[in-house]
Amino acid sequence: MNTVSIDYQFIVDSDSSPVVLFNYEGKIVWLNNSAEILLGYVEKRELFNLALRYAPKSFGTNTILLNLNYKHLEFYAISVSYNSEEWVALRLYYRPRTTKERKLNSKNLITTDINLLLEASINLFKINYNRKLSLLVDKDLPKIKIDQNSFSRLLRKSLESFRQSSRIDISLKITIGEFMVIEKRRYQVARLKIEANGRYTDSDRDILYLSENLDVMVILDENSITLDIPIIN
Amino acid sequence: MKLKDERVKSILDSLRVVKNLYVSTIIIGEEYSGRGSLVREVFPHSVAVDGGDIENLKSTLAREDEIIIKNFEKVKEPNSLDFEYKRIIAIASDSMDKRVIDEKFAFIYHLPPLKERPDDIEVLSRYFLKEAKETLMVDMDITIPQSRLDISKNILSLKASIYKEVLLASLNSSDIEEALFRYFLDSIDGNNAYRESLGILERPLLLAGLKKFGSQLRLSEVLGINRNTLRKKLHEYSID
Repeated sequence: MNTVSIDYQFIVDSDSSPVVLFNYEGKIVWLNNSAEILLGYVEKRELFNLALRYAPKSFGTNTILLNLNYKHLEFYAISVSYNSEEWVALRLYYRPRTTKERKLNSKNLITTDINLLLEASINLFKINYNRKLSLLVDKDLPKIKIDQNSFSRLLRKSLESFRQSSRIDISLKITIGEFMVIEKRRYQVARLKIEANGRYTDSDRDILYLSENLDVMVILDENSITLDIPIIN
Repeated sequence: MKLKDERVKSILDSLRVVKNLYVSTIIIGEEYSGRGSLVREVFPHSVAVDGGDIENLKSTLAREDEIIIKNFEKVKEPNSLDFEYKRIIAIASDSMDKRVIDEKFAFIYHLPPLKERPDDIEVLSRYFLKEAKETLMVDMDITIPQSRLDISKNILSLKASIYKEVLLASLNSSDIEEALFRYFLDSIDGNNAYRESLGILERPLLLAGLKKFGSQLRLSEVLGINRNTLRKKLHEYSID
């Protein structure tokens, strides 16, 4: 078989492992789809430093076992390759997940404009919060089947975590290329992110509990809360 | 009547946003602070049930999708209530258990008491003054000083104090005479009634006179009585 005509880049493009190609200055010259998602969670400089640190002493590839966590993305190994002084490639290997299979919690699901729930929750929050709050929403977000009451409670508790923050930035949009699998069905993801300069963690247990029951994936950080909501419609 | 307090406006705006959603909402605040009126403005036709009447509440919950629950603090075992697929608007006092509120309700609003809402006191005072003048058929300009408005029981006492002020301002001498006649008819008794009853006439007369004319000297002239007699009377009624 003549392999010259095969588009190898297409294969790497769609590989589930993130692959990033840097030039000698640390600028990204190429990356695959999976790496685009990864860069939503980690700075490119951090990845470049990782590549420099674990690069083989001379041309070739160095693969090492290394536990890396970027928010909810977990990796167990990386490969660093180069055969020129001009570039270096980094590949990260996802840790296989042994998470329990998600089951759709179909209780109380009502087709809902979550922009509306967010607006109502922000109105409530702003009664006692008079500092800067920016909101960026995707008005074309499709309606989602969700338990309106529990989701409103989740929003209230998430927002209250930022009650003393000097500025809050909220965004709600559909993620590109990310999906959630529930009962073997893939769902697109609406991502609600609330960011500030620090937050309270007193409601984190409730936030985790409510998220679990709503099939919402939550990332609790020092300065932010991210809710990945499956677009069930 | 449009209330002006920003927090009240925010609660109203928020209630309007959730009015078509199946969520549980609670408004917490002092009695007569206007919680019920706010709810009725957004949910004018909803069925209302008292939290103290648990049987009625449970049967209404089984029947209706949208319910106003008054006096939610009176509900015994609130966790036993099923709010699924319901639009609940509850009204409760500040004494409610915070954990119960947190678990049962998605939207929790705190309506400040009237004393913390000066803009609303102004709006409500104007409204009740107009209403009182119409109800009591009083056609005269009346200005009620802030100090005479009673807001100890929020809107209830404010309204009562305004009606009282309008009534007092509108009395003429024959109304006062009629009022005194009825009072004396009811209260005259014993063996010293003349002296005891005289105070009802003399005390307000002396107090008003002192306030109006400032000095005992001037007041004695206006009243046409001796200064020593006036001083004795003031002492008798403990007026300095």
